[in-house]
Amino acid sequence: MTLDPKLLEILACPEDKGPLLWFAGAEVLYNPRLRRLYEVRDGIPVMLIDEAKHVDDDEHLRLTLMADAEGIRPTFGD
Amino acid sequence: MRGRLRQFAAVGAVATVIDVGVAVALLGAGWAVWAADVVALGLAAVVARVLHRLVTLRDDPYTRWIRLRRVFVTVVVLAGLVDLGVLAVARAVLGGVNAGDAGGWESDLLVKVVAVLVAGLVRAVAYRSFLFRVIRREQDHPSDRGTPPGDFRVSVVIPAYQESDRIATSIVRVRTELGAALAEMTDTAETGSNDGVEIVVVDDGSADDTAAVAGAAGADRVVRLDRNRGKGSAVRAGVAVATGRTVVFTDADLAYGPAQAAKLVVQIEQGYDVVVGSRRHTETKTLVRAGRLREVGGRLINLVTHAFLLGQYRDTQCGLKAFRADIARPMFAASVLERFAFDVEIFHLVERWRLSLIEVPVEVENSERSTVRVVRDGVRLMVDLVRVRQRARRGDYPALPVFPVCDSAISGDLVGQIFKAYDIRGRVPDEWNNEVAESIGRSFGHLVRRREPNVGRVVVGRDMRPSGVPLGEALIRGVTSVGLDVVDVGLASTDLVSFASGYLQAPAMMVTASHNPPEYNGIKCCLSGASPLGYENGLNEVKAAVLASAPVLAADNRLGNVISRDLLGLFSAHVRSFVDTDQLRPLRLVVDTANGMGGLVVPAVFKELPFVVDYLYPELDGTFPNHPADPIQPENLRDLQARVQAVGADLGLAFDGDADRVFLVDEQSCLVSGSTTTALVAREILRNEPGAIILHNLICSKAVPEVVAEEGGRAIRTRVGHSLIKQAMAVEKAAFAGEHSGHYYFRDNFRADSGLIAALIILKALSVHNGPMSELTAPLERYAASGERNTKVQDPKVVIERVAAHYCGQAPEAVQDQLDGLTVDFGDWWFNLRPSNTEPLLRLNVEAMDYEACATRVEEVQSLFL
Repeated sequence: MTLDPKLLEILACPEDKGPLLWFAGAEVLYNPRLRRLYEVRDGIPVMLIDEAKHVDDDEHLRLTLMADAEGIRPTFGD
Repeated sequence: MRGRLRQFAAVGAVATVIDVGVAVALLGAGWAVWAADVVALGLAAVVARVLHRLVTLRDDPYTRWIRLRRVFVTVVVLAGLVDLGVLAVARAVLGGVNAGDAGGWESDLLVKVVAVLVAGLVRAVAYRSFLFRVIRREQDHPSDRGTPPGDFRVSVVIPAYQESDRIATSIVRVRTELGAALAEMTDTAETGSNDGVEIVVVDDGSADDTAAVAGAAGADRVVRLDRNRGKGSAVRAGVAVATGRTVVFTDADLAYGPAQAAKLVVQIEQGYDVVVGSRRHTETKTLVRAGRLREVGGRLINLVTHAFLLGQYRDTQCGLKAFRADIARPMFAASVLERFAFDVEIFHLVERWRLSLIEVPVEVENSERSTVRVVRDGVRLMVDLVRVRQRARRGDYPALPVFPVCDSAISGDLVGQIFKAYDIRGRVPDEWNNEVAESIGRSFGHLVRRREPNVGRVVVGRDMRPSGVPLGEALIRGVTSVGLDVVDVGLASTDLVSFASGYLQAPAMMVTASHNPPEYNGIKCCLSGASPLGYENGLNEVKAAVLASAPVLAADNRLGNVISRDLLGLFSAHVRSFVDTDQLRPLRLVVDTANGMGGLVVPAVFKELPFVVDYLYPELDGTFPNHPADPIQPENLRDLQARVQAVGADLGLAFDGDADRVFLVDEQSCLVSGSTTTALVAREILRNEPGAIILHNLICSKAVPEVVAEEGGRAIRTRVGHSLIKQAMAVEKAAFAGEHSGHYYFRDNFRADSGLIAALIILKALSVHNGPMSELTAPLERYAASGERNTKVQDPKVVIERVAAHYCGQAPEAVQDQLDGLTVDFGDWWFNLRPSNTEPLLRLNVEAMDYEACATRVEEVQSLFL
């Protein structure tokens, strides 16, 4: 799954308006500050606070390590 | 409706009372049994016939056959004989018991009532069995409607739910086995033409990757529904995008074997409108036995449906059916059932529209798994059947379409005229129709391919106009035919579709005619990021392609998929993000959505906000039964103003048909002008973002640039018009732009306009202000505006030049500019005079210090026109 780079540039967390990490393989967008995980279904990111998943410590660690390992950059403001 | 039913029952009651009353009276008078009863029955029948003719349900297809004289007479005579027989026998028996007197009127009444009941039963049974036969005979003639248009010989629609493990096999089997069977069954002469099989898989909201597997396995089109809606909805979505001349639907488990579908296709090609598979047919073999419960359930369903349909069919629920494409489309567009009882609805429409139908025996090769659950689904089936019957009685189904169903060609001159400066708009079906819509979709798709080669999908939405359903489906067929995917957002407001275009970075099309009357429909188009597409920068190319003959589809062309998705939640969250919702107070509001799309989006946005809202006309109804959805006309605001007064609301909002424009009335029901609204929103924006750049068109009051300057912002004047404003916003890096006509554009809304965002910002201002709305607007209403005055003139250009020359001489100190038409500013008053884009009209706007001066100046300028 790929997301349009132009779309990625405008994506922000609806809660803190900050940038997100895009995990193309898992089709999720992650906000490491609030530990919120947003799903992308059919290429449509579901940026709704109510539908976001809250991530526990282990999963947070896994996601941030994975981002480092795969060189995943925040969507903007870098 | 209830009233009509009561009338029907009343007729029955009157006839029965006459029958019983006359019979008893005549018997009492000593008439012979046979004479008394025949006279009574005859009288009752005549009265019933006359009364029925007067009150009979006109739109109910059932009455069509009940009215057949032969059936009526036969049934009445049959029932009469039974009545007479029962009466004679019962009277003889009673007479035998109390031989004294030959029974008083009480015993006569008793026997007559018994006779009537028995005869009624016979009549009901007789009616049904006669009708079954008459109807099936009527259906059994192939009709000669010619070959329907279509790119493929057959479209096979496969609804699939959680079928990722076997959908690939099913697709391959359909492709090979159906292809081979068709080739075998057809004369070689016919196969020369474009004779492929198109496979449309509809993923009914599966949690697994059914859609992806289907696409990889070679399905020509994959439609994804956003949630599990049921087999009826899935088939409907598939039929809507199918482009074959014959449309077949079958189950994903291929319980019937794809080769059998060829038998149905051949019947369609021989002239039947609808061909249904029949498992209970005498010749049917069941290769693999289904579970006992399921089999019994199936029988029960057939039995129950007999009570709802006229004709007697061997098997209504068989999952293999075929249709002529041009009949499948209106039929599925007219159907409403989401779940598997939709089959019954299809039969009802066949009867209603007097289509030809044949049953073909099919062999069941059932597989173990099925998604049918007998008890729950049985109950749902009953509910659905009652719904069909009610809709049928009420006349909710559209009337018989004109056959042949394929759209008539519309002349290029008429089609050319629907392309306007900013959108496409015209009357349906005389100026444009589904065929034109498909062509527009295809041409727009080609334009997207040229302009944005990296874009793979297009957003399509529609408003609540009834013609929007088939037009939207045709549009989607067109767009997907060039290989672009479609994100179908369904019912939407124009600002929701703009949001989707920006949010998904995809071009978008919205089927709407905004505030126009019901017979109109149109399309608003934009490219990725909600960037405007007007006549000059693209619609002209779409028009040229539509008017040129449609390009032939290449055989190897990939068809686009359809993803249906509800974006209302995302859009509402986006709109709410423009204000700090914690600052909102429980204001009392009246919202008039005029049966337009506001009825969908406004409650969705306001749902989680503290406002107390009265909605006027929130039901979506494209016939606009209450008032036109055009709030710029003062008479369309009257209901809103009255309600604001009645409930003592803080603010009233009026939305237009596609809910992109908003008009406000304050707590005294006074209209808040577009200029004042612009100034108010601009002030809010500037308080959040000091020094921001604000655009306003040159018709806006001078108060707008004054307020912007006072708040420390920079105001820039622009020409009038949608596309121009959006472009100017990008160039000037403006945060907000307002037009006097009720359009408010926001940078953070992809520079698209949204009345809802403007309204919410004002509601925030009003919440914080903590006083009445009129207090908030008073400091912004500084001048008196004339409003737009239109005058017909022969040559607008000449008149404008003359007026310019006049003031050059008369008032050399006045500042003139020609940004848009002619603007002349005298310091204490100004006017703008500009020509209409489409008609020989001059539009005059004057603003002065007070209304008296304004009226004088309007007359002064207008006197120069002659």
